[in-house]
Amino acid sequence: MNSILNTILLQTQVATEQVSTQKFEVTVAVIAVIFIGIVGYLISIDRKLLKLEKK
Amino acid sequence: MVIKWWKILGALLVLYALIWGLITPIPKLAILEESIRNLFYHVPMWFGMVLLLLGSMVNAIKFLRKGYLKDDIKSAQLTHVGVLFGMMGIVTGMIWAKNTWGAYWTNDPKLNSAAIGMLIYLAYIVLRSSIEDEEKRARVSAVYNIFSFPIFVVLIFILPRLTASLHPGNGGNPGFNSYDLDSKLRLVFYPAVIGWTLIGYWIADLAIRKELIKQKQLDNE
Repeated sequence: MNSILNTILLQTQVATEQVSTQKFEVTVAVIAVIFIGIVGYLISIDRKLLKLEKK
Repeated sequence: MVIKWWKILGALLVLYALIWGLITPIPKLAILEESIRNLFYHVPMWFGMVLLLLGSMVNAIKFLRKGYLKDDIKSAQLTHVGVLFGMMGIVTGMIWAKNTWGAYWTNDPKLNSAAIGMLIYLAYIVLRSSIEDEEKRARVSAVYNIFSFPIFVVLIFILPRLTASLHPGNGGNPGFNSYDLDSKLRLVFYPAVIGWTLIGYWIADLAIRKELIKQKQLDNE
């Protein structure tokens, strides 16, 4: 378990180093924002449906 | 009045896969290079689609056994989202193919089978829209659906394996697991599959509930 955690942590470090040198994180952030926006929209439709179903 | 937990779980898993899929270290691969990351985006579309279509077939069987129109609505909406995922799979696959095989479309058994499979399900949608009577539409499309799914599975998973194919995991080609020596790819791939499937069910769920409300309104009128 510990060794798995260690490898993940190590990978995270390596990955973040690679990423930050190439401004990869900018695109990652943009994609994240777009997806969060779409999920937010899904949630709002879901809420409206919940209200309609209550009636 | 709360959003179901599995919807949020799906959103989080996809968000994780979208982000981590871009930054995770990948094995050095000739030709594919960085495009191996498509594994986290293109392949989950197909896996998600198959699971959605499986759900659709289960609901079709349910309808034939019990006869509730609710199950027919579920079955139909799951198919719609499944077809949407399949279209995404085809288009993303074409982009990937252009950049690794040199052409958007090759007459590869995997590709042609996938195209035939999509046509089978497009025919399902056309079939549904051509029958006015609700009961009849539900029964005919349920039967069609139950026949389609096994054929579809054979088309996209079994037949391409029996012949020569460019596509990974077919025609004696190794699948992605041969590239994934330390399971780094799996760590993103499986969450992506589960996440996208849940998102697909969520979208279908919204459409199903919309249809049910519409149905109720029609009954009240």
